Amino acid sequence: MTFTSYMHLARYGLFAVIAIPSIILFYRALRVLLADLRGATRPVSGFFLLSSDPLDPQLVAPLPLFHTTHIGSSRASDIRVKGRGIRKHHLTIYYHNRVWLVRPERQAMVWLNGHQVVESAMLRQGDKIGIGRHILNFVIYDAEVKQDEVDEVSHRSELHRSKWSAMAVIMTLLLQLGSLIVLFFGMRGTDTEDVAHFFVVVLASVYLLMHLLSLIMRRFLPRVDPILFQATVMLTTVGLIIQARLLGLSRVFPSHIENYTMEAWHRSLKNALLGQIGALGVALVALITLVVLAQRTNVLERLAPICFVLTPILYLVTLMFGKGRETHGAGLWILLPGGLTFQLTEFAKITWIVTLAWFFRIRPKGRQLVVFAFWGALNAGLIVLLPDLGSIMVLFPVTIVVFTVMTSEYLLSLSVLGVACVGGVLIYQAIPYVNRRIFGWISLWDRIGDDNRQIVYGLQAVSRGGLFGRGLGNGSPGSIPLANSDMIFAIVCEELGIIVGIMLILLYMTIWLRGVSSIIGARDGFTSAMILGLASAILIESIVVIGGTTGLIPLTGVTLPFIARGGSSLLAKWLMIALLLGIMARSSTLQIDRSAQVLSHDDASDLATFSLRRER
Amino acid sequence: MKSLLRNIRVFVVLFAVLFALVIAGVIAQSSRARTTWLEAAGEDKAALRSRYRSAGEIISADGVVLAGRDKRGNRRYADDDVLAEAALHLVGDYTHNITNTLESLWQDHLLGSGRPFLTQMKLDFAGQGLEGDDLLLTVHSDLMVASARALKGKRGAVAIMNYKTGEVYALVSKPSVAPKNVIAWKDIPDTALFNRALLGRYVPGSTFKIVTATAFLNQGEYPYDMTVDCRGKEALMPGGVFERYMKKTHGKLAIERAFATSCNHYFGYIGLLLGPDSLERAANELAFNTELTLDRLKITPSVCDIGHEDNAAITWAAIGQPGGQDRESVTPLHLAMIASAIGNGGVMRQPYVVEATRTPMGDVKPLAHNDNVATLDRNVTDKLSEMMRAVVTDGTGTKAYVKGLDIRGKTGTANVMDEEGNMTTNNLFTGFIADESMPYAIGVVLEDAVSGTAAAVAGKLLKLTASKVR
Repeated sequence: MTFTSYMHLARYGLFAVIAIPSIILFYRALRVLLADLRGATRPVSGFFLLSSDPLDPQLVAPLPLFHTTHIGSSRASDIRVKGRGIRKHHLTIYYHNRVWLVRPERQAMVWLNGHQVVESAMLRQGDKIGIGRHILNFVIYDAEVKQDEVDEVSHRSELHRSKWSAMAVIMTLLLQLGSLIVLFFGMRGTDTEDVAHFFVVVLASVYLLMHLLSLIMRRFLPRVDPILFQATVMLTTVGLIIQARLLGLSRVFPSHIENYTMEAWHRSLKNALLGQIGALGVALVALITLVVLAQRTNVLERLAPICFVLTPILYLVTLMFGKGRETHGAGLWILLPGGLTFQLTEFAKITWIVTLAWFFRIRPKGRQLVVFAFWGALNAGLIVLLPDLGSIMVLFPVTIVVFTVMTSEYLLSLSVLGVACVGGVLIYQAIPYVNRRIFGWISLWDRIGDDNRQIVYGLQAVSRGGLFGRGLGNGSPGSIPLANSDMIFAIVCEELGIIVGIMLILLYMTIWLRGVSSIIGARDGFTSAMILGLASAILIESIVVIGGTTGLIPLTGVTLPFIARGGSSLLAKWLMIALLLGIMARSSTLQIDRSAQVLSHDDASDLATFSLRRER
Repeated sequence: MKSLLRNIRVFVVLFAVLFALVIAGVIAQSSRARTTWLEAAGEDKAALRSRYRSAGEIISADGVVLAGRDKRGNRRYADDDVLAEAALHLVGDYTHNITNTLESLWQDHLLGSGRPFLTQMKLDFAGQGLEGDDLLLTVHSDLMVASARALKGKRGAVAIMNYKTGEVYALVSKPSVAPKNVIAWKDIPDTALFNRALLGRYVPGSTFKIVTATAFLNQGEYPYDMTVDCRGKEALMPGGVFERYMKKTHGKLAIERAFATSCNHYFGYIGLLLGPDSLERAANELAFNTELTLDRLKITPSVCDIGHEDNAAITWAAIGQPGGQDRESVTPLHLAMIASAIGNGGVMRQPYVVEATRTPMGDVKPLAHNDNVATLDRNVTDKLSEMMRAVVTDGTGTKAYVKGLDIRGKTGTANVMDEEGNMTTNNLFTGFIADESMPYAIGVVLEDAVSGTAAAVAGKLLKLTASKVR
């Protein structure tokens, strides 16, 4: 048997060690989410509103608070208060940046300790909120907080201990080990033999680093989500295997190129892998720090205004200094000294999401909405000028999702979608490069031309692969333009099979499901919006790529997260994962500033009654 | 918070739907790609070469390898140069420079994709998982070579088939070129990559009189022994048909003599009597205006679209000279199929060229071939068969006569314009052996050839077929 036929046999094993952990991770993420969705919303512990009947001060009832609590006469309100002068959406009480705030909705009259609230006001221990004839007392009750935290941590660590979780880790290890063996032996006796050792050592150290991080987080950061981390590790591993294979396996020295030596070729292969792994290494080394920063501090909230300013600047810089328009239709690459290239637009996605979460931490009032619309339009304009439609294809849906979930403005979202369709048609007619792409996509099955060749060859490769693929190294990536970046999904399907391709979609979905699960228990609106934005961005980006590669939607130049070639993309995606892990691990028990704990009124009697009731 | 939870529920459902759609879409697109685009212009040649290194062989009925592997594992075509050129259009090339070939349209079998799971697994453990299946063809290398030799130096095509089973024994188009030139894309003569046997649209000429005769036999209004007076060079009507190549006239004759002598006056006259609709109906019965295939290979549909406007034009259409191949055309393989329907008592079998596939482990899997393309009234085809005998024994097709064989057929000569606008004549012949033990049919087209050459080629090749195929 030859190496190729061994690889053809080994595909079954490869399939198993990818599919089994993917299914385990997906299944567990799905089960947790379904359980979370079935249960009612869990109120924040330690903070209450006390409603006291104006006629009988002895009747005091504690009302639960959520990180964002809508109060009004509407059925959709969390606390329903009826009476004269009370509007459907009367006021919102929400937690942000370590303080509780009260904000009246449009045309609603709200009093805080006897003064009318105009914009919004901070709440302190014992504050009296007046709406209509009702008075609500804001109460902080520390005793409950500690116990709750202990419960939650033990609930979280259930996720770690399951034997299934161990199984997924073992399978991932097997995949990594197996692929290293394949690379080592597969490259023996070929033109790339000298590169093999280098590849194996570099890959092995990255794998080790990932497992080490996983252990550290399990031990010291028990709140960090192991399922999400494991899914990301799995995706990255598949990506590294494919990239190393494209560089080294089944490659023949291009001897027809003049003045090109074997050494120079080997050096370029090594550099190509290092470009990928270097970016990943940077992200991994910074991972713990970023996770802790995002989890324990409010640095993200503080950075939000900076991100607001930074996002258009990143696009502007790319527009002015970007290279690569000739080759890729869009000039997105910033050249750094030392031959490095950098794609700022990948990082602009993160700053966009931070800004987005900041704006929509609660339902913004009209003026803020207008500011955001202008800001979004400005950025969209810059992106169209680039033109980087890939960014729009990801950021627009993410914005719509976050906006709709955080504000419930379904009608407005639909009308924005409608306007976007019109805008899309205009862009289609105005930009020749978009026009070609779309036309190539529409005429995909009738006519093969320069505008859809890539997809045709990609789909041919996918169909050649069948269910289980042709085995690592047995595909023909040479027949697909941009096989290592835009069309990587086709290569995965050709060599590892369409089932593994679907497993990748499952893993992206797992990340999203984990994110959504933690939104329900998130401590404030910003955290919720941020988690939703990051998780959706990764999922939507992967769907845009996979759909584009398989001709379901027009192809745009987006890279498949964690898998495609491109250091900037890999770095940016791992940064997103780090932030996601951090903010998802934020405690749902709220820390508040000391100033808020001071009793603004000497009104201990209510508090005493309340304490007695709780302890009974 | 209540509304947030509700919104999340809504979006979980939305994303679940999206997720399911994407997975379904990926599967649907990949399976659609499996059946379309087996060939795409501009595919990477190096990738194709490496892919075809493990492809299965294409083997003729007499065991000659038409496409296989050389010692270094590269794709190689038939050793015999004449055979390699003769089989070029059918077999094709791994670079897919020629389209509509076995190499491209059967590549899923040749490259071994889409096998049943257990079969594939068995092969994988034997270390042969990547090797493709062999294609066992019905064509005979001897007949391919003989057909190519018979067409030597000319442009044209030959199709030989078995009218009882539908097996195609030879399918040759000339001019042709060596496969290595096609792969290297150099020194390719004009139109050498065009498969005339399947794709050539030829004006049928007098072979179309089979259709007119069928239309006549189908009806009961005019008597079978009705006679028409042939007036030779004098036109039937102003602008109507006349005898271009005859000094004398045929005299007064009925259908049998008219068919044997290919009398233009007779067929022009009855064509006018019967009308275009009845001619087109008869043509449709003989599978004109029908999508035809040869296994997965495409055959250009033969056309019969006469039109009502002009009586003189109808007389020309009735004898197969409609003035343009948009009105009437026929492919060489379809010519053989027309003869085969008459030889087989009215049943036109579906022609096929791939007999079976063979896995790398040697399991032969025959493919089902039970289809009929068309069925005609047996009484009509028996009469046609008798008339076609007279053509060979005592008519225009005597050059096809072979002693000891009951060859029957119909000749045709079509005046066409070549590319420079000069009038040339194509010579056609469709015929068969009326013998249960030698059920062979043939279609021959020779471009720019004198009358009778196609009949001579057909006679020679049918004789060879009778002796080679058993």
